[in-house]
Amino acid sequence: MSRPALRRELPRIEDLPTLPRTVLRITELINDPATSARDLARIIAEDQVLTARLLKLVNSSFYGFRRKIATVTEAVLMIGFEAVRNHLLTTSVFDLFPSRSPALRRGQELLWDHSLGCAVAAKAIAAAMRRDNLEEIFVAGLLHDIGKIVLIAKFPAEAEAVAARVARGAAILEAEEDILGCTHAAVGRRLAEHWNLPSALVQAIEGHHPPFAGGTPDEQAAIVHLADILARVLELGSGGDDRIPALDPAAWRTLRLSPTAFDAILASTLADFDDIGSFLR
Amino acid sequence: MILAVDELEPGMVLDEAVRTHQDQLLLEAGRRVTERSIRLFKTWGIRRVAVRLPGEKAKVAVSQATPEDEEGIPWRLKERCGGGWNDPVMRELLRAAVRQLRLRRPASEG
Repeated sequence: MSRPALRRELPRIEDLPTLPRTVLRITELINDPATSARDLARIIAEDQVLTARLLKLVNSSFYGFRRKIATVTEAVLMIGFEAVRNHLLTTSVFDLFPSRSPALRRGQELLWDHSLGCAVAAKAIAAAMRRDNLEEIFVAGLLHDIGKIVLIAKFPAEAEAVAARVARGAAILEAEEDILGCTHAAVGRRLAEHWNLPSALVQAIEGHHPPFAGGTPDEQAAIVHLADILARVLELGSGGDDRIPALDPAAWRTLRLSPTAFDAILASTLADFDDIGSFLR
Repeated sequence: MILAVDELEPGMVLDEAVRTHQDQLLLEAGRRVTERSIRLFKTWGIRRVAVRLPGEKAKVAVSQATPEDEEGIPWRLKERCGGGWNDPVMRELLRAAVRQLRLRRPASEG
């Protein structure tokens, strides 16, 4: 497909994937104040894969509960409705885009690891900032590159051309702009809107690359920007190229962190990545 | 293999990136030296350059074993940062990352 044609098509991709029915039902239930933990658990328990993932998660050191959580109801009570939704959402997202080409599949696996690395790094940064919406930040990190997954699934030939150019030393944003006429950030925003994700999440997906709109990123976008750098420095997976982006000064100011916090953030990122990765991968 | 700039010949492949004293990148690792780049190196007062001989393995392939700078940061990590390396916060970040990666994988550190 020629570049201008694709540029025209991307803003109105009609056949974007939808979320699994169970996840949609769960989202509806959580929005309903009358829902009890038992209602929610019953729907989750109908799906073996979701059940296994949820139990593995609550028993991982990500939560650090001292005793074993054995039932879905208990898991829902322990971590809360929002956390359940966020985690089921994120673990379902990557199932939506199976790739047939082995090369692209390998790229997807590396991208998943990169997303996971970015998610645990984002959570560690938010913890260092003493924020309490760690779940939400985690999801923002996990979904920040969702546009890349769409590109790989929907435009495999172009995605391979981008990958080839990146392998020769190009930066991924430039290669995407050149070959596709738009970036993964724009595609990610489209998907996030299609799924009615919260606006902070849409902004983190669209705006995690400088330059930021208005010069200053909002806090979540700034956290994801730094988390992306951390995941790349620690070589957790691959975001599609080998570059470590420069830390944007405006984003750094937004975070109000001291460089002395890096050791704790990085240590926590590595520990969480090894631990949580074993259940999400 | 380290060569003096006078010994360089066009077509040789760089084994490490060449940088100015201000840390500005002149030529990336893996790139071929040209007449023009040799002149550039001389202009910037570069004395010695690491080149790869035919058949010699690229250093960049071995991530844990890359040579480090005087601060203990692997050169490869610095190269991946491009211009961002000039930021003192980024340097702090890389130092912390090197420390934490060593703690995580003590066995694989040669």
